[in-house]
Amino acid sequence: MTSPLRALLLTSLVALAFGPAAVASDLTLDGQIDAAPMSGTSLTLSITGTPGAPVLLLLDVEPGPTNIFGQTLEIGFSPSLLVVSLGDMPGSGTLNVDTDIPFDESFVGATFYTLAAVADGAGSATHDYSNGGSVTITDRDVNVAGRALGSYPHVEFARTFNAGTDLVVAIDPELHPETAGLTADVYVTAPQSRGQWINNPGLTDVRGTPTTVTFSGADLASNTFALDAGTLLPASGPVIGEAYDVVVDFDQDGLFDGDDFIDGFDDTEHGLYVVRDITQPGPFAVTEALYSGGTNLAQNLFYPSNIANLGVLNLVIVSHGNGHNYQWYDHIGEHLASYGFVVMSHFNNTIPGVEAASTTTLTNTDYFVGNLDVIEGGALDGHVDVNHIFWLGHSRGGEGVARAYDRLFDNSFVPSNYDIDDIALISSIAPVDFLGTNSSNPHGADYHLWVGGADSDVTGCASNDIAQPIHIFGRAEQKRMAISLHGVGHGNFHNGGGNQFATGPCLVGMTDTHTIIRGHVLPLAAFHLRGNLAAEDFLWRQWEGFRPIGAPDGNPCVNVDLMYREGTVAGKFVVDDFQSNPGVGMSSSGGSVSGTVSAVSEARLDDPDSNFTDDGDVMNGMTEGRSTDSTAGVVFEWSNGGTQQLTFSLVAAGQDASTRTWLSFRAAQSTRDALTITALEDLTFEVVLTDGDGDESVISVGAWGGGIEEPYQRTGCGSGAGWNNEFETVRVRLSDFRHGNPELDLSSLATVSFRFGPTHGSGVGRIGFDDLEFVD
Amino acid sequence: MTSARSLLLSTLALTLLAGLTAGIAQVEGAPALPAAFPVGGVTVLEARPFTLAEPATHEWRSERPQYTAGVLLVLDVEDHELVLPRQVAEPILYVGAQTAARLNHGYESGRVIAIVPATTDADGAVVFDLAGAPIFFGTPGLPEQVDAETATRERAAAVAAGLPATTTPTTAVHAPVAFENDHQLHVFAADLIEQHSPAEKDLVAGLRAPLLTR
Repeated sequence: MTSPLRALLLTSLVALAFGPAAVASDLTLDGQIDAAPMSGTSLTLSITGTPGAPVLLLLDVEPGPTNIFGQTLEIGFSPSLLVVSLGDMPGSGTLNVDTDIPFDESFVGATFYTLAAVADGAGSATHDYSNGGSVTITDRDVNVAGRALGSYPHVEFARTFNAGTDLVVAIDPELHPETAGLTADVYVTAPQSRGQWINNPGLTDVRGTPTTVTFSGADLASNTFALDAGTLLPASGPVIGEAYDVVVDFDQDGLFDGDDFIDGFDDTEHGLYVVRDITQPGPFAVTEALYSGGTNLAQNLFYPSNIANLGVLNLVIVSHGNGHNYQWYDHIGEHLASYGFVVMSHFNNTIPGVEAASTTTLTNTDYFVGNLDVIEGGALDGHVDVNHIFWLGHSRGGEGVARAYDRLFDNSFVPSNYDIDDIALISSIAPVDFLGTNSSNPHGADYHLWVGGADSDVTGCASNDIAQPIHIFGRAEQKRMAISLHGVGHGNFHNGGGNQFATGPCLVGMTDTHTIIRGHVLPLAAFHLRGNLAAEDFLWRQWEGFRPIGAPDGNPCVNVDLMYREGTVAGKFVVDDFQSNPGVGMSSSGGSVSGTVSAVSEARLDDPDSNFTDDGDVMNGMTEGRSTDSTAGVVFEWSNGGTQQLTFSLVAAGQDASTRTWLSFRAAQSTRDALTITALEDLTFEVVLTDGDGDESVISVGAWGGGIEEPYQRTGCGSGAGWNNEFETVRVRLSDFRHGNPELDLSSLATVSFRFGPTHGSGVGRIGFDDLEFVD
Repeated sequence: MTSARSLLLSTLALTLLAGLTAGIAQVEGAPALPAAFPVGGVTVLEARPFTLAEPATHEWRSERPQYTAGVLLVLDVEDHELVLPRQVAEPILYVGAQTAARLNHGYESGRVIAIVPATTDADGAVVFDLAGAPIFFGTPGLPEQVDAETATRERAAAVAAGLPATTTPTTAVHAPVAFENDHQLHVFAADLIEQHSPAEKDLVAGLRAPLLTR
């Protein structure tokens, strides 16, 4: 489908006198052959030629070249060609034309090709043709605000910042040479939509006065300046994150206009968000109720006490585990309700088994949704969003919620008051896997998992498929997320008594586990049920670099790993998910895979024997699938003391990453392997993008703090120390690669490589690797 | 306080403080189950026959049969570890060739309240005969996956293992109780749980949650 501008281009072809052609005119756009002006800015077109001669401008959507009368002209001469008269060449021999680039968002990313035709002397019927030029309209929304890193890529242009974080403003002069030496007033403003910014460009700094900086640095690091010393206020209401936009006012006229930069020129996402301590209660008082709808329909309800004034609220349903009680999730119910959620924890019929548990998830959801006019005297009636339900299950309840979804999927259970499309998110806390691949399956639902590394009930050991909690995660077909917690036992997740089922070194305990839970379940619900953008950062950014303000940092036993894989609806290109083309020499996308890393094996992520002893199993420690599952990945190692690498060649469909935001992958250290034991620490290595011209840029996975976590050093399950392999996701902002090398062409990438060895990070290591993709 | 006691107290305090700052030292693992099943050691303390006006479903069998009569048992379990709640496979409680629906876990008390479906005779009296039926814990698994063949096999294994048939003192048998529905039965059972397994307060409170009506 053509863009509106393309639609406006008339398929008209003015009769040009194609006499003997000569390329004798020069055309530049903002002084360049190829320009990339931002939408809403201006562009200066400059054409040289014979004074007094008529000047024509050819515009096309195809670049050519086209061979005409023995000459090669750099334009496509497609049916969309437009020819525009620019008048006569001035006596200076140079014609300059200023044009405004529209603010229209649909133009962003569009490229137009230009060629000038200057009559060969006044009245001449032949023309001199210029070189070709191109105009690619770029987004006006530019990342300028972030937090300083100690090393390259120098600035983390993140979305969300904890209150009190020192913020910086930074512009890379190599990517924006037009800003070199300019002095600007930098404003932090209240957020506005695109339309509001266009119609209300006046700048008011929420801090009182803007920050004046001169962008005289030679590189990004030296062009980074303090913006705010943690004074920006976080949101005080139920929404996570107070939004701000940031405007770099180059002409210092107090208006967003001209060539000013703006971070937050978007109708959905603003420049930055400041969040408070999300482990602390939210703004609402909470009402709790206990009632029963009959057999197996006892429910414990939490909701904001002032629900009558709050409109429609999101619903979270909690299904407990075996031997647990539906009144043992106050820490979740109270917390979420204080932020405006409705939480219903129900009696879960787990002792007979998972099928029975799934039935009570299904029937309790049905009962609740169908009796809002009765429960609590009807206080919730009209105030519950029953179309975006979050199912959270623990243990047998954790498998039960996946089984419940599968029963809806198979139409083997048909509720009266909701359907499968109303289930927005499924989350399992330390789930068992009794029923297996075809029955405990979240299919295409958004799926989330919690794992406690010290769990002595759902142990995770290779000896028992039923007790491996990551299986259901491995089956999730679309979006899937996970949080793994060293030192956390099975019973730590609820707030009841009894055996905590915690075994291992450095146990975290219930109190700190609940702090972590509050700080994770809230953004999980807020992002998936409300679309609260600021919350998403808590679900994937490495814990070492970003976590809730109230995270139990004083507890040295706390280690948190996060996994986050977008579904296909988000927009992405999968380079290799190892689900097809099982040979190590070809990626699932069909590109070649090569390298000098050692012991490369691609297989199902399933430890084939019954222990984690390092006995030569290539998938030792992998517990993501059982024999009937298909989840797969690759393992390899490096240890020769030099540089070892793994390279994924990109097929044509994956070479243009210019419209994507992230390079994403996940990795895990191999437990109990000699190379893992050699240095028990986070592993680091480098990610390299190389374009078709051979330009490359390199970023370390440790740039944001952390790396690939070492396995939890729990013993048992064979000999040695180290529990199951624990993947964590690394996401690298693609634009960061251009700070390292502005010549890198993200629209024409050739390979994604990983470099290992002492000069690239950790000297030795053995890792599992999966889900390499470019994500929007 | 003597100086020696003061020193001892200080030392103890320091030791406790060191333990706290080193992280939580207590380890609670999952006690191992017996190596072989079936396992006995279950005795009947009380037996209450009951009827239901509305049928209930016995979820503890793969057939999921409906029933309108049964026996509410209070059992004493000698080995408490058999009833420690686990997420993975648990030992399955049988009364003869029938699974018993445990209403509580009974780990602290060793007392388990369970429902065993039964039939009624022509006069509507509950037909049950515990004599000759061993009560035992069978192969760990999920009760909802037990079918008739499995139950029969488990009973035969119990007999072959020499597990004694149940002896129910006549004083243990109470008068029959008639309930409208399964919910009433469970509310009644809450009283028994409170009496025999008082540590399970939350379970009792949960069973007594007020009934919503339209």
